[in-house]
Amino acid sequence: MEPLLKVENLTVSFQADEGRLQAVDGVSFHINRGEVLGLVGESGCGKSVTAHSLVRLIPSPPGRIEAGSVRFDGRDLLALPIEELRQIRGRAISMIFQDPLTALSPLHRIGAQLAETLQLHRPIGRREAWAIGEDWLQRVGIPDPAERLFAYPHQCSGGMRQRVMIAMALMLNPDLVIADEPTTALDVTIQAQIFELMLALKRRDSSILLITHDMGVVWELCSRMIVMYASRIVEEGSVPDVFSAPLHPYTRGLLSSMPSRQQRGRRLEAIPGQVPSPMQYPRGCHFCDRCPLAFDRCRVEKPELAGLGEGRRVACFRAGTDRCK
Amino acid sequence: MNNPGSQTAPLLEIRNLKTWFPVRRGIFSSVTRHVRAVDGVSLSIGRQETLGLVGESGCGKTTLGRTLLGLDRATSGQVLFDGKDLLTLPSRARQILRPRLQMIFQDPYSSLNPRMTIKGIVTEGLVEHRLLRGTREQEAIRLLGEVGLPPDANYRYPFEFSGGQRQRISLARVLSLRPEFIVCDEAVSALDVSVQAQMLNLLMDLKERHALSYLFISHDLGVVKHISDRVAVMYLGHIVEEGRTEEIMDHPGHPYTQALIDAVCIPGRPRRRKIILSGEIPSPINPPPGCPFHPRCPRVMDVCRREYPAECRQGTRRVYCHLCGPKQE
Repeated sequence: MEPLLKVENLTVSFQADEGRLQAVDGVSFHINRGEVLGLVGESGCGKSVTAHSLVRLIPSPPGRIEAGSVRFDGRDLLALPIEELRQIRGRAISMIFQDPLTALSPLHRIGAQLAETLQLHRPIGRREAWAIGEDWLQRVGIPDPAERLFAYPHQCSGGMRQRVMIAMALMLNPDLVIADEPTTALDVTIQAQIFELMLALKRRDSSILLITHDMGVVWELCSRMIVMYASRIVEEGSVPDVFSAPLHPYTRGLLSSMPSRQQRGRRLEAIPGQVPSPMQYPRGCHFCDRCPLAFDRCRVEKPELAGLGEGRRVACFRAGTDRCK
Repeated sequence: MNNPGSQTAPLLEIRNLKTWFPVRRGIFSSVTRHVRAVDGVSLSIGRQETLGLVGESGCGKTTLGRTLLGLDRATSGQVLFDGKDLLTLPSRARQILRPRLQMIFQDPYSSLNPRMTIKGIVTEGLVEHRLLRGTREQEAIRLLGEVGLPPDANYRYPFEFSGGQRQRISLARVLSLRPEFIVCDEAVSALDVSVQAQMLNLLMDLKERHALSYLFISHDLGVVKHISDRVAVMYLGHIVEEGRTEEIMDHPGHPYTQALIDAVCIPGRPRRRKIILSGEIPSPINPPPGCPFHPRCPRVMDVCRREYPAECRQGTRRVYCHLCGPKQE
């Protein structure tokens, strides 16, 4: 069965005052139909840039997609004429982002923005579009939806705006939803409501690329996951596998840092040091300066993402050897 | 290891504290409504004890922390610190007590003066309260060492540091005054998970080393569970439940606490959701009568809509819920 989305060797850089920054370095992965794939990593690892690049929403300049292909339903999105890409964006692929680029327009009422999205992709009248919009506001748990339709975005709280964006993303029954931290600003009890919605999507055979730093959310919603560190993918596998037996030292460090996985009151096993800045990535493996298992080869050679069978991939010279236990 | 809070008198005792903010519709219109941010809270924190305070947006936990420090003005109630009521102390006496009660804020990017060097920031309080012994440079190096930062940080500016490092600088600054009590208001929430772990370890080490007490305010139940000796759950300006951490987290008594814990995603736990609360978190302006939680409570009864629940004690735990009878459940 052909995957819905297949990304190969995606490489993105940014021109900054200090020079050229490598934001995404040779990232390859795929998403199947009806699957929720988690893309996990901490600030600055390149996960948001990856997400934006898939639908060519990186501002260029200063950004530049230097290499790679993004095959969606057989077609390379990076090579499509912009008109055809626009047909796909918003309908077959919808996005939930946090940045102003794709956020709500401050000049139009919520109802009008929802209706516009619907009418752009479906031959329905204004009244029907507003009615569907109201229905979706209800579904994402917004109180008094009939009144909320007439509000402007600035009259709503951050959490409410986020839910409106989720409604806009799910309304047209997309094949793929790219969701970048969709529930970070929301309270846990509201988050639980949104998760139900997203799982309902999955049951209708839509796929979700869920980008987050929250491992708990990954556990809850995703069947497979990818871990990114400093512009590269370091590990891939099914969620139960990666959580129970992480292979990359960074993934292990990340999981040990989580309070819920450690004994109460004990010191957490934090990863020493901090993430290097893109201007100062080490030669070789980007994690070598902080890695408890680093040896000479790590500092000079870049470890490639190698398959270990059953969908497991790791980029580490120690993986598969005795030393990695 | 001593028993936290084992001293007979608590270090901090909050009695029926209320902090209400007036709602005005214009400069000249009269005040008819109030935002009841903190609406009758009673808590106590012992020496060398960490009390975790959890709740969602609008529950009043941040306002509670700010009221303790005097950053927001209390409407009524008492805040007894080492036996003295902070709310009625004359300002000179209050000023003398100030170094002993400190706070760390959520946003590492706006809590440090961008125009001051680290040395200046970290020793500012010492100079202000005339507690400086030795040179500013020596003190700053010592304090930075306590939080794991190198001496050369002294001459740099905040913009040169990451979020996690800035929180450490805030901690160093707070420690300079040798406090007994620190309010951590979402102090680790803006940090990445691995940096958060470093910060939590540091907080725990400092607590041991300096016999500190913390009021640890957070929406993150996992973090609160890890670091707190006791936990209080807040909803719409009220404490709904309070007790020892394992008790509350493992056997929550109040329906809101149960929903909160059920909503948290913990890897390893089976994924099926059991409790989904309907509706929205209400506004603290003119809250509903009776129990503040009744509009969303899955187990609401008639009495809940009319009467505010009485306190129900079960050992070291307090719950405010009509479902909880005076006898043990």
